[in-house]
Amino acid sequence: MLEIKNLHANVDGKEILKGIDLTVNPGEVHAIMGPNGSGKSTLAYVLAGRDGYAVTEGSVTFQGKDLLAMEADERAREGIFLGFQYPVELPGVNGMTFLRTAANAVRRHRGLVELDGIDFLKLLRQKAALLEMDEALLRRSVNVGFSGGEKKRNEIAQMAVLDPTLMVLDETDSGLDIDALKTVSKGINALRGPEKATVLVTHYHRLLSYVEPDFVHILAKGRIVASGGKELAEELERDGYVNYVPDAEAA
Amino acid sequence: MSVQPVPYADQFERLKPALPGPAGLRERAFERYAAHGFPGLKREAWRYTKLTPIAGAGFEPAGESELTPADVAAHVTSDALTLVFVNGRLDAALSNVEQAPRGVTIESLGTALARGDDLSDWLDQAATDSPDDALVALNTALMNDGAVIRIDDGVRVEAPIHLLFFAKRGGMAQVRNVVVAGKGARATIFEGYFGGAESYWTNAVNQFFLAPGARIEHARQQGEGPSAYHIAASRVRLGEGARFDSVAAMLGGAMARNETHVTMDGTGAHCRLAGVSLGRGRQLHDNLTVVDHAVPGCVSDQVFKAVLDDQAHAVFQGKVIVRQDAQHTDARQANHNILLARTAEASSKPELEIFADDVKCAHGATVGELDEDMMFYLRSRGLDERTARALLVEGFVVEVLDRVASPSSRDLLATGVGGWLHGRHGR
Repeated sequence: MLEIKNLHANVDGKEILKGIDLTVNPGEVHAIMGPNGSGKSTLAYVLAGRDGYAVTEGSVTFQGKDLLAMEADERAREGIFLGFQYPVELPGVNGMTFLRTAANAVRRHRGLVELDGIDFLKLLRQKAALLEMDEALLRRSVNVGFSGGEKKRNEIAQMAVLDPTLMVLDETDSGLDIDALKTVSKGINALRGPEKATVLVTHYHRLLSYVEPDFVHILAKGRIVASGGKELAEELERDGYVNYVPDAEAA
Repeated sequence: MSVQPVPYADQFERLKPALPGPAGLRERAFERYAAHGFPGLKREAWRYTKLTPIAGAGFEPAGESELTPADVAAHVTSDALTLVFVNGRLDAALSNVEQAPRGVTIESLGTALARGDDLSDWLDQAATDSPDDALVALNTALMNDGAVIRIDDGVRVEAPIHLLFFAKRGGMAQVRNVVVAGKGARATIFEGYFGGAESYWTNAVNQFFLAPGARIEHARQQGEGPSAYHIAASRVRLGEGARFDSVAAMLGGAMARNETHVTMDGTGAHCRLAGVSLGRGRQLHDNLTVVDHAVPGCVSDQVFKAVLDDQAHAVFQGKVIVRQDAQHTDARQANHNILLARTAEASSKPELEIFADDVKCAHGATVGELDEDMMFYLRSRGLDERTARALLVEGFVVEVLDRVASPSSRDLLATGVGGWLHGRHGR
C-alpha cells in the first residue's frame, strides 16, 4: 500500500530524513518510535504533504501512485489521514460545516454520493458516540477552547468520518489521561481492517498497549536503525533508546 | 479677488425652501460647514480618504424612484418593524411599523419635522458632539429624511427595527437617523444600505441617545453599489449603566467611511464596537472610532477586522480617551487584517490617550496572510486550496458576526457577507 524508498527530506535547508525505507501492507499496523528530534514528525508531515518539507531524494508510492507528486488535499482524498500531534484551532470555522465539506470532498473523489445535512449528522453522531464526544463540541469552532484530550478525540472523530485507507497518527497519545487514551485507542481499532493500514508515530510505548503493532521501527537521526515486532517496543519501554542512539538520554 | 463658493452651496440655496424643519438650524449648520469646507487629506482623521470626488461631483438629490416589494424582498424580514427609504426618502408603501408596541414611535424624520415636532435639541447635539466636522454639519443643513425612533422609559421593543436605504439612479441622500432610548429601554436596530451601479453619495449621520440603563443592539450593513461613496458618522451618548453593542459590516462602495464616536456620560456604561470590512477591486473602507471614557467605571471593547483582496485598502483608526476622572476604565481594542493579495493594503492606527492611572487598556493590531498551519490542517482533511481559504476567511469574519445577538440582524449580515465571500460585490 505504502512504499517509501530512500527518502531524504530537508526542513529549512537542514536534512532531517536521511534515507528512509519502509513498506506498509494492507492490514498492518506499524509503529515508528524514536527519541525527540529523530525525524518522526517530519516523516508524518512529508507523508501528508506539508509545505516547507522538501524531499531531496527517494520516492513514496501510495497504492501504486506517486504520492510526492500530489498536493496535501489530494493525498487526503486519496485516503491518507494525518492525526496531528497539535491539532490546529480554527476560530470561527464551524466544526460541522468543516467536517461535512471535508467528508464530501473525499466522497466525491471516491465516486460516492455526497451526504446531505441529515445523513451527515447521523454519521457524525455515530462516530462521536464511539469516541464518547459531546456532540455540542462539534458544533463549536474547530478545536477552539477544547482541552488537549478533546482535541485528540476530535482528530479521531474526523478520521472516522473521513474513513481513510492509511492512518498516520502523530503522537496521538501525548497529553491523554488513561481514560482518554483507552477511548482514543478504541476509536483507532474500530477503523482498522484488512484493507487499511496504520502508522503510529510515537515516543512512548503506552499507546501500543492498546493499539497493538505488527511492526515496530526505531527512527534515529533520520534513519530507521532497527525494525522488529512488538517486543521491540517492550524493550524500548524497559531500556530506553540508549542501545540504538548512543548519545540519547534515557527516555 | 473672487471667492470660490464651497461645494454644495448652490444645492443648499436651491433646496432649503423645501426642506422640512427649522430653517435656522440648517442655516447655522451650513455656516459651520462653509467655514471648514470638505476636509482635506491634511486632516489627520481624513488622511486616507480623499473627498475631492464627492466635492467635485456636485451631487443633486436623488430623484423620485419607485421600488416594488420584490425589489426589496431580499432584505425584508417579516418579524421586523421596517422603514424603507428609497433615494433617501421614506417609502411608506414598503415600510411596515404598524406592529410597533406602545411606548415606541418609529417614523421618518421628514414626517416628524413636517408635523412640527421640535427635534432641535437632538439634532443640534450633532454640532456639540462634532463641532468641526464639516460633513456632519452639511448633513444637518441638507438632511431630508431618515428615521426617528423614540422609546419610552422601561419599554422593551422585542421585534428588531430595520432601517433599509436603497439608492437608485444616482444622486445624493443626506440621511439622519435619531434614536432616543429612555431609561432601561431596549431595542435592536439594523441599518442597511444598498444600491445599484450608478455613482451616488450617501451621507448618513446617526445619533444615539441612551438614557441610564438603556440598551441598544445595533447592526449595520454597508452594501452600497460599486461606484458609490458612503460617508457615515454615528454619535453615541451613553448614560449610567447604558449599553451599546454595534456590529458593522462594510462590503460595498467605491469609497466608504464609517465613523463612530461614543461618549460615556454615566458610570458603568458599556460599549462594544465591532466591524468587518471586506474589500476587493480598488475599494477603500475607512473605519474610525473615538471612545471617550469621560466618567469612571465604564467598559469599551472594540474588534475591527478586514479581509482585503486585489488593491483594496482598509483603514482602522481607533482612538480611546480615558479622562482624568475615569478611573477603573476597562478599554480594549483589536484590529486584525488579512490580505489575500500582495497588492492589498491595511492601515492600522490605534491611539490611546490616558489621563487616569487606575485603568485597564489593551490594544493589538495584526496584518497578515492566512495562517499556514490552519491552511495545512484544512487541506490535510481533503479541502482544496480555494475551499480552505474560503472557510478560513469566513471563520475570521464569523467571529465578528457572532457578536450580533439578534438572529434576524445576524442573518442579514451573514447573507451580505456570504454574498461577498462567494464573489458578488456589495449586496
